[in-house]
Amino acid sequence: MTANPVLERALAHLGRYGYRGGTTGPVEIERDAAADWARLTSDFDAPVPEFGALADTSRDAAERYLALRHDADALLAACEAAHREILDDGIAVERTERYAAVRDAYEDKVEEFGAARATLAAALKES
Amino acid sequence: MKTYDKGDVLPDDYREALIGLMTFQADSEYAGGQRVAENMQYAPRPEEAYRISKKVMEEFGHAYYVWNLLAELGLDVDARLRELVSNPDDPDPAKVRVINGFRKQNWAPMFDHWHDVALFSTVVTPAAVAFLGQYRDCSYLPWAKVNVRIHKEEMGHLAFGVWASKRCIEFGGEAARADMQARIPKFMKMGLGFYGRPSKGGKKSEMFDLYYDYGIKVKRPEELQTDYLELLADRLGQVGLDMPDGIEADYDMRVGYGQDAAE
Repeated sequence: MTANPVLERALAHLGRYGYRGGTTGPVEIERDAAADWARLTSDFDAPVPEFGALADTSRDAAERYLALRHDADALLAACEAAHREILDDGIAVERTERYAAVRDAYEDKVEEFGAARATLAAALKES
Repeated sequence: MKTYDKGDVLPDDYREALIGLMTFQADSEYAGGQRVAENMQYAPRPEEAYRISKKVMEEFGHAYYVWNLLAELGLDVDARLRELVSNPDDPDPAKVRVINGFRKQNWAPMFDHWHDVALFSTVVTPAAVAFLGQYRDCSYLPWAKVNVRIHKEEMGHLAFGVWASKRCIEFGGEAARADMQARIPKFMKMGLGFYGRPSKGGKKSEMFDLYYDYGIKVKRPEELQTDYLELLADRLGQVGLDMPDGIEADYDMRVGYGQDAAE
């Protein structure tokens, strides 16, 4: 398997928020909403409560926001794998299109994650 | 304008000029993705980090699209990818053609804060949108088609810049706005130099007339500058930043590629 140090170092920054992709593929991690929440609170421009102290309306929005981050992580790991396949096996149209398909899915998920963050931010301000 | 499609016999000088521009685009898209990847270190919040990782993956994809076309023209594109991956800090100019602006030694000094990352996509990307946008109408039809796809994604990068810049001000207030305003000129120099030297006069590009006559480039630098400044004024206005006056183009960064960029 071909090493790609620039990409690996870059994606390691997402480890601060819980991403566990990398050269060995995605790692299944038991979900811990309180810990996941604690990693992501810097996404909001005002202090936010701990996960267990969220109001019901905010809690539903927070659960969706956290779930979308996990979904995005799985797709990013798939992107990494498709990229490695190109490095290992060579540039070809079918491999490029496989990469483009998972990358598009990842991009859509990141957009959903961003929209969920905005919805949650509004709910937090109301509660 | 005479056009060429996949499998057509290309005149020798057309083929040489075309491959020159396509290799600059493909190799530089990949190197640009590596530079954006290095900028992930500045992402201050989760959404910023996820959004910029998405941009990295897109830039790599742009390189693959164009490398696939170059493979059809007989180039060993895997060797180009290997060189960029194994030697990202200083790839061999004899093996790949990376524009000066995307070489690490030129790029890295431009960035020391997330504000720079947000501004690059707000201030320089409009030049990429204008410059690469012309290839959608170029005479080599497979490349034109690929650039329709790339242009759509570059528009997304422009939206990322506006979003990221607004978020900087949302979190950092007026101090952030003032800091960003002061950082605009260095990126605007790069943006103004993106589409190359004027098409006329003593400073003209030696290769421009050939590209233009063959329909490989379909807009003059002066037209691209108008397109760029319109886009830039609009995007800076959306963020609430002012367009500085009296900024001169930095052609030495040679972000806009052409045959003479290799000299």
